Amino acid sequence: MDTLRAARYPFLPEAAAFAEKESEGLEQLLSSPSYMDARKRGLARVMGALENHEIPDATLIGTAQDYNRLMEVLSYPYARMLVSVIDDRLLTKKYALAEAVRMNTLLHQDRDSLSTVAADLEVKAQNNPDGTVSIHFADFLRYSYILKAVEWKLINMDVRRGFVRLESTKFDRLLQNALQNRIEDELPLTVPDRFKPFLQADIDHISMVLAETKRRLSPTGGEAVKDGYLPPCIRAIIASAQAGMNLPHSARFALVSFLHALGMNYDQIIGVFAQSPDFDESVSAYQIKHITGELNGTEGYTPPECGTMKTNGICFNPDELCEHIHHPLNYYRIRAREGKQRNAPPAQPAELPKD
Amino acid sequence: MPDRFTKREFGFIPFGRTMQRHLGFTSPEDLRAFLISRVPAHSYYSTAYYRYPAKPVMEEKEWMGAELIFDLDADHLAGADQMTYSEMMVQIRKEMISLVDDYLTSDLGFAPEQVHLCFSGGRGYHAHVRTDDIFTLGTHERRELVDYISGTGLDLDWVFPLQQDAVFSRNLGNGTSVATVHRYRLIPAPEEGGWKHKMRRALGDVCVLLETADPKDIKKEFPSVKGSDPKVLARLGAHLKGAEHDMFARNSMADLDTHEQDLLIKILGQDVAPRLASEIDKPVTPDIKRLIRLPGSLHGKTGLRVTPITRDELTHFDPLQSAVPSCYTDEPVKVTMRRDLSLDILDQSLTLHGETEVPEYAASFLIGRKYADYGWLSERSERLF
Ligand code: SF4
Repeated sequence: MDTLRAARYPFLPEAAAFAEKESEGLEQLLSSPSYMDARKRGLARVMGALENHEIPDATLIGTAQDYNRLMEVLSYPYARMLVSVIDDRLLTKKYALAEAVRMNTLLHQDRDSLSTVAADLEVKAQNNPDGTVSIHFADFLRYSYILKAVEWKLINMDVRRGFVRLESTKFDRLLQNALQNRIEDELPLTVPDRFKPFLQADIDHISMVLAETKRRLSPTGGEAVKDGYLPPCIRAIIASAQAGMNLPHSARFALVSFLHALGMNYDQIIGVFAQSPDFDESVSAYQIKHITGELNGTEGYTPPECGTMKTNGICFNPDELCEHIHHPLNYYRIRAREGKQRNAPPAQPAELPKD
Repeated sequence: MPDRFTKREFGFIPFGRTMQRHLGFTSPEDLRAFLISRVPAHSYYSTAYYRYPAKPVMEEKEWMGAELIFDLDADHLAGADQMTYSEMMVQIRKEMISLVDDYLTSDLGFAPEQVHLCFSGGRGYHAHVRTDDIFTLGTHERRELVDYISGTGLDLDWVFPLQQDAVFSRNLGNGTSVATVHRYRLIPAPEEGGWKHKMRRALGDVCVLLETADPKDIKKEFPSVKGSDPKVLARLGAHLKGAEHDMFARNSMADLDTHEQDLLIKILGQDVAPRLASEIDKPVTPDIKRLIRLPGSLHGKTGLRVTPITRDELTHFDPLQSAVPSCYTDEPVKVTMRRDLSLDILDQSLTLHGETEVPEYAASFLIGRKYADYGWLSERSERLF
């Protein structure tokens, strides 16, 4: 058994086999002092993903390498249990991405493992003598379509008899997406209730940092949406909606996705429409749930940027701040920051940050 | 018959009524029995496989995958309204052959037995691809395939990349040096695939034409250079005669001047690439929950059979010879032609005008395609409906 490979790519079946052979089961992993290092490393995987977008490196060669490799392999199921119990979309995404990036980094210096890993991820591919990799076009499409760029369009690819020929770094990027997809699909695992007390301390720790991260990411800084910070376009659309005007689809879409991005939930968003004289919840409900992703359990759509708003003819009354930004959400962020600075006791000169 | 039969949804339009869908069948025999008892005008099945194909709400069917569909329809051909049915069908057959040979079984590498071809019963052809590799592809991924096949988003700077060589550099003595840069385009190597391969081959054809045709014909063939000076085109042709061999041996246009290279790129991008592309009906392929005509069934508007065919049969396929169902007789039927028409159907050559009589199988086609009306106008009072 290649224990180094198992430790590097703990999602491989050989890692599971290694763990089964050398350890004493999940109960022990969760509770026994012998596995403290695995649990610590598991927590470090999740925290690294959350705070630094990466899984920190580990020493897998040299003194005590057998022990280190076993701990590394076991840290993987532990980390997955943590993420599963918290079951938060942002955390799961960040974690899956970080694990995938780590695999990508390791594969760079470890080309021998490439075909094993690709086969495990069910990616049909083979190495070519000239250093390029051929990947089946269907797998290429599956893992490239989120990389929206001309250089990833199939039509601009060297396609031969069903296989796309790629430079190896590009191929690695697709494998990364494949692992990320797989982990996102697999999580959350069902973690038995009797395990949860053992996980609680680590979960509390992660949850706290997660809440803080979310607050930082949110355009409203975790606070309620303030009308005064809304960009002119959104304000105009709200005004028309409340006056009972029939909104064109693009405006409705922009409004709902914008409010959703500010963190407003379904009830709050429908509240905006409810003030319209001919309000009909059954009509709006479906659209809102579709745009916010509630309908199919996704994250929903991101609101359109200013360019798109202009193209659609719904960039209403842009003001002087609008000249400096490219996205209505940034308008809100900047106004919110200005507002805070105005209220903060030692007033700082409000400087206009570049978008 | 579609594979994975019990996972398909079926839909039918009975004569003169609206679509009845969300039907599932447990066996081909059940379906056959249904068809015989109801005789629908149009029969469809889902390209998708569902866990519960007969559930009435799409969300509850649980999509498991779908075959990959390509649809070519004469409606999309330029100038289709000026063509007779047979002319249209010859054109669209050419398109279909190119779709299969240049894309499906070559670039995309499908085996011939994975590509199921079908005359649609109307004015086109369908290709159904069935292999495990593609069943789970989503809408986005299928749209990329459409772009590939329809030539959408082709980046000519990828096909013919710009190369820059510093030819010499001169030191001015004060620490600055001046380099003369030679910029030219590369030509894809012969072993390269995809659109690079297509464009290298096409460039060869373009060169031959430029070398041999006179400027007037060149402009007719390549409208993108309509505004160019005929002398420039003639000079390019003469230049290519000497340079072409080296160009293709070195995979580079370095011997041509910038303007000549630009002309070639313009022709290739604007005139040639669209011709290499296939005219598939773009919205059909990405729709992973579509109903499509059931092979073997009748097309209620033409009376022709939705006919499965092999690639070899496609080469000479004529729907009016091979898709006329045997259930029609050759009993004479009175029709009134809306316009004069010659029609080769089965082994009959018919020249038709005004009030006439034709075999039943021809009548169903003529009336369905609105070339004729049922009965004789002069006996109108006899019409029952
Ligand atoms: S520039 Fe942007 S933020 Fe400003 S009104 Fe237009 S779309 Fe809205």
